[in-house]
Amino acid sequence: MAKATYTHGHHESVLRSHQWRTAANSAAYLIEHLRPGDSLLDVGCGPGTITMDLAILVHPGHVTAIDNAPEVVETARRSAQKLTTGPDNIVWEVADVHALPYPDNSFDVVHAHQVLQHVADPVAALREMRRVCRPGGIVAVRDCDYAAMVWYPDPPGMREWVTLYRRLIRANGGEPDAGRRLLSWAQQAGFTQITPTASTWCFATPEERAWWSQMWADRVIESEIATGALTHGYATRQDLEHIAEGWRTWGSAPDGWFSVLHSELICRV
Amino acid sequence: MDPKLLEILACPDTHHAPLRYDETAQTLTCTQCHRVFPIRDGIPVLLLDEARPGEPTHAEDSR
Repeated sequence: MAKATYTHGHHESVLRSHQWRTAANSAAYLIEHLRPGDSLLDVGCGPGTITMDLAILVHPGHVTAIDNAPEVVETARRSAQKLTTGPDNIVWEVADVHALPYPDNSFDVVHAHQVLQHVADPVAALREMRRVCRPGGIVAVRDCDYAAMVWYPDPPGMREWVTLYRRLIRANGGEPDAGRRLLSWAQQAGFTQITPTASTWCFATPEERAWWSQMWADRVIESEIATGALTHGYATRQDLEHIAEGWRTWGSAPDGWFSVLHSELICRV
Repeated sequence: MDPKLLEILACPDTHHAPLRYDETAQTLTCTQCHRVFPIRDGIPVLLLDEARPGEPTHAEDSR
């Protein structure tokens, strides 16, 4: 099977962004479908902040959290253990969405946030998620769309940023404009009862601007994005500095506004 | 590892056969293809790429 590489890598600047994610800001479309006692599989759990929220919502049901990067699963488990009020109903495992280590019909809910954009075969991944979901259960997925990122003002470097990102994700075997394709992928995977919606992240208060822009400036310079861009010859160190400077300029604009469009699906099995 | 958790685990290969837990070795072995999956610091690593190739069952029995 073709392999895809996780474009962002797991540098601190990447995890800083991912740790901000909660069920409220990243899985709101799913919350109304969750019932206490549900068993839930969280695919591509990353640092596990969404997982921990979902675990509280389905308690006393069990959550299985998986990621294909062992060091990320270990970090997530450690943060869950640190929380004194943290959920006790999560098990952490290293697994790949293309070959899930569970029998058919194992879970009530199978969830993946910002995962399908990075996998080699999103349709096969969705089929595999459906296989482990019991009849009557739901597969819930959410992905952003890089070509639909919108911001103002538009300092030099920002457009180069999105162009570079889209090239890199494609070079790594993923699809940066996943949001608009999510419904099509689910249909190809054989789902017939699909509820598609969209939602956004918006970064426009001084605090949000400072946090979002600094995170990206660091990520462009220090994460695997930099390594990937330099290795593929898509950017020079100077180009990356230019992009980071663009982010800092945007971040310091008092009227700066940025939104991230997401596609979401509730697929009934 | 909680035996209840083992119940919901299966081999990631398409046959999805049950796994056998070896507490001493901290491994999970597929009851069909005999691949051996490591458990590292209590976290099962259920990647086909990371599994050791399976040995025939009779070889294990004769040890």
